[in-house]
Amino acid sequence: MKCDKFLSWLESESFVRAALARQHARHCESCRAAARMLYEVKQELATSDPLPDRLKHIFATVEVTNAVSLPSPVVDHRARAGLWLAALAAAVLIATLPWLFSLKRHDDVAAEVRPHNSAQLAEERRVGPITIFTVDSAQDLNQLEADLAVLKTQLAVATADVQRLSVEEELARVLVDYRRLFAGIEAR
Amino acid sequence: MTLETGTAEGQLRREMAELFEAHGQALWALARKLCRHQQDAEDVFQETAARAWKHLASDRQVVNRRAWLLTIAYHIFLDQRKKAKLCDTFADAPDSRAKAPPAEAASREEASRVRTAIDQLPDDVREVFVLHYTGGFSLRETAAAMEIAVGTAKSRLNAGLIQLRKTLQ
Repeated sequence: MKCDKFLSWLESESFVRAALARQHARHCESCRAAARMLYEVKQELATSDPLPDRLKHIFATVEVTNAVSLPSPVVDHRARAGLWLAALAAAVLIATLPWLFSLKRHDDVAAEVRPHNSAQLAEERRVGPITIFTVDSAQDLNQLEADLAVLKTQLAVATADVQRLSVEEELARVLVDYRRLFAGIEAR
Repeated sequence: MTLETGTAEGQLRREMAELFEAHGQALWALARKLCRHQQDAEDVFQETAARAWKHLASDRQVVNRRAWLLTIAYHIFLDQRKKAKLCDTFADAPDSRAKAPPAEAASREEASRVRTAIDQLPDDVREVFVLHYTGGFSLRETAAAMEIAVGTAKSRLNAGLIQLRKTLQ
């Protein structure tokens, strides 16, 4: 190795490089002197004047002078909880905004969502802007069945009418044909 | 943990006492080497103690207490230097170790020469030397404290070694 790399190799964290540097120093006077110089530098940096007496109690007394400036952990938790609650409330508000805007006047809602005309209403009551219809389900079902029976009858009548009309039309055509035939015979 | 709880406060005091017992002298040595004036070093020492207490009082855990404490001191030193609170013009007079018998004048002069050579290093290089050799940081810890890459720390260390060799040999 070269002398200009000696000190960096000597201080390297690599065991191999450090060993090579020490081996080089055995044969190089200049690098041996550099190693002694580095030792003196380390000694100078490692030693210091003793700790002054007035500083020896700093660690024991610092809490007295700093007690009032410390933030209370309880306050921090409350502040955090408050922040979380505020964030939750904001999230709920944002989530319900579309529903709030979709709310209409009571009358409009009532007109759109009134039960069907034949619904058997057991009760009708109002809660604020909302009208609540209570339907008797069993009675409502019976009524629906009755309505269905009427509709079936009407359908049967209509079907019969349609069939009759078809026959009548056919008969009318036949009569027209016969009249033409008789008219032709009489002409002869 | 609240300050009103006697047990918690006693625990904190014990932690601070143990911290000082184990690393107080190393903290002072680092502050003294970083700062050219003793008063500045005392300010760094006191502020480090205050911050350490605040951190421990908030129940935060520390793995390597020595590195943590000395890193706090280093950052306080940097903050104070930014605020130009430190005076770099005139350094303190030689410390008490210089008051040696005449027979040790040669070694005293040599120590002074080494000290001067170290002081003449660029600030960023000198700080690497102080953290690594005074603070006992590994190069990785030094880089972490200085918020630089490990390679950068190694480069600065090598540059400082080269300069010191040129100056002292």
